[in-house]
Amino acid sequence: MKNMKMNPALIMVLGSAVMVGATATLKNALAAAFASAVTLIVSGLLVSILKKFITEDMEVFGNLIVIAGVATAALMLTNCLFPAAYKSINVSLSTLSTSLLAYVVCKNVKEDGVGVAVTTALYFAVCLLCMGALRELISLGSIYGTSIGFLSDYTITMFGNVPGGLILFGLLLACTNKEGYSLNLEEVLGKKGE
Amino acid sequence: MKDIIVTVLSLTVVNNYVASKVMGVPNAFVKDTKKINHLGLFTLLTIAISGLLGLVIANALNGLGFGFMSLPVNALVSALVALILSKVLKADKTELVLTIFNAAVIGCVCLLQSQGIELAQSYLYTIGAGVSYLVAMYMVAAVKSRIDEKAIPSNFKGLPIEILALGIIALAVLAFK
Repeated sequence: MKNMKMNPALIMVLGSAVMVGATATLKNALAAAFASAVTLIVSGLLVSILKKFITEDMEVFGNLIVIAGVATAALMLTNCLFPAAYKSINVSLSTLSTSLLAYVVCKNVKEDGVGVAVTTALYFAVCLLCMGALRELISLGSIYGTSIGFLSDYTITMFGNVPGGLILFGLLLACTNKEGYSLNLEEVLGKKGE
Repeated sequence: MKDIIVTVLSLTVVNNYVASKVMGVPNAFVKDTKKINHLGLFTLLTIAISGLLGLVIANALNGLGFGFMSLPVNALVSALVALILSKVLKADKTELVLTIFNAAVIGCVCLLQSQGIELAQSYLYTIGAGVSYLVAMYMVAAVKSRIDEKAIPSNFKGLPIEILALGIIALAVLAFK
């Protein structure tokens, strides 16, 4: 997880509910980036502090309690700071409370430190903002609500919906993919299942 | 009976959890296709049971003025349901983690609440949601098996082409609306 290529959002499509469901416009993407960054960083920090108390047997439930609690607080904060965007993406954002991305981050934090949570959160936020900007540009011909001249006459509204979001996400993955990545469950969970 | 069929069909085809709501996508792309039946059934039952329980708990918490706690409480309840089901279905730890951290499980409860579906009708919705997830897993597996046989540009190999294929499935699903 030392560079952009190792971003779990791009190599394992983790957090795709937020990545596609909450990035129809840049405003929505900004709210989603804020909520997910707070969730990943704070839950990573808490797990790092509490790692002595979260034993391996209780790892799944311990991490879940931390992630769900932090995500709830992050959603409240997002509702306060971005009320209009939150209203349209609250269901997608609520999936952060059981996000596999957050679980993988919390698992990695125990071994590699809080830096992993910070870098992953920033990379994920950058991906969300890129998706939001591109989708708004293509589907509405605007950026952050500001219409861009001739582009507003040549919009493809499908990219504002889920199918367009998935297609754009697939293209974004292809841009960062050099070796034909594919999902490996054991890789996601850090060790072979028992 | 007609209501059951219509609700399950509409959730399976029109409001499919993976293709139209993009929930639980990583789990739908499991590499080992032999696991699909087991993981799919496990996820279906978890969504159906925890969705129903989640709505009851959310209504109770709202009544007590603790509505803001419904998300973490439901996440925990879903995890407990998944844990119990994992013992019954003899699921391994990987499947348990994938089901607990599946966005479709908590997403079902949130959608039930946001759409104002009543408790009496919610069992149809939760069963439909679970079936829609299982159908999506089969659709993705079918597409993957065909894609694997084709010559694909190196950058598109693996997840990118699979996500693009899911986008096309989502486009087909959108047509039903």
